Amino acid sequence: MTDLPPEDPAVLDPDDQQVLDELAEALSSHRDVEPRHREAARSAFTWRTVDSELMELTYDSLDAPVTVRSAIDALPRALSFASGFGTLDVELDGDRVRGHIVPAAVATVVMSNAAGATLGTESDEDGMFDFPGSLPGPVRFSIEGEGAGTTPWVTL
Amino acid sequence: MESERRVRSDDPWPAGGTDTDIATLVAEARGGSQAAWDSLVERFLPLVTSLMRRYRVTGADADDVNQTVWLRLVEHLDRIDEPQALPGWLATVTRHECFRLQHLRGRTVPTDPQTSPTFERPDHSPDMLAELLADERHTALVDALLELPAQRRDLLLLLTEDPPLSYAEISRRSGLPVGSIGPTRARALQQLRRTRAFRRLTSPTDGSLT
Repeated sequence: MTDLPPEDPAVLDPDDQQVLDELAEALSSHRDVEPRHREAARSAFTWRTVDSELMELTYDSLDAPVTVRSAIDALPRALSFASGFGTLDVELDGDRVRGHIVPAAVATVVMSNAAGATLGTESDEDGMFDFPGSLPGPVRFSIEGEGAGTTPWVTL
Repeated sequence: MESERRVRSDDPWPAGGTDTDIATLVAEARGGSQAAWDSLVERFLPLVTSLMRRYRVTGADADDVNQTVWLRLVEHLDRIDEPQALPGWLATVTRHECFRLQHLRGRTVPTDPQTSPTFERPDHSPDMLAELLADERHTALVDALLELPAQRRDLLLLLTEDPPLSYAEISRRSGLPVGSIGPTRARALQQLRRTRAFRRLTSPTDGSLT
């Protein structure tokens, strides 16, 4: 090990070979990253908000066990969120996104995506609301006013 | 243009060594440091990427999963009690998002529960642990590489190109005579083994990392 290796670079100490192989493997996973994934990951930081209450995802129809999927698949995608104040249910119905707030209240509900696009709507007295469309990419919902809160990011 | 392409232009080699550990980076990111956040991305993006590839989530779906995972981490930053658990947390979120997306697309992957990537495994299965250990080891190796002087680091980068370069090509790009490649490589690897990052690697998994 103390001897200098011969001048032919193809001759390699087996321990060195192992480290080099591992290094190659480690580097390949670093080199394989899509630049646009790096870009998206970095710019996610601009969505850091310290002060809004984060609601919790409590139900996602896609998390239903695989064994009952054939029945579930016929149903629309549904998500539920909860905060200390109440709950927010969202359902994807074709191109529309409907939902309702409990306890029922008239409030502004905003859907936003990471590109900065937003859609806003008002809930009615029963807490029901309806977005006429959706937004591309992961989105989150915010309730403004009483019971204000923001959901985690979800892919609809 | 006949530039010496020692490092691919999209290779992220953050300048200035790797003294900052995950806990420090998390603390700085909480304080609003974009640079600290970017370093966290460099460390863990390969883990997220390799999981998405493993679950065969590609294209626009991979874009969505990737973006969701990082947005979730931004939300989660203030709740991280144990920064060492961060890789495990990221892996779990990535897997869940991959499963959700596969369900959303109505994909039914042929189900051999032994091999199907969509088969639900507990998050601390040997599989998952092996994955995290390998990833940790990979990260440490990359960190170790960053502790080397530029010339030795560049040589090791050339020696690990995929597909492999000829020694004549390595000589041309590194400016080293072919006869010096072997000895320089030996010194570079010896120095790599003495780096803090490398010495922190206490238990090699078992030599085979695949």
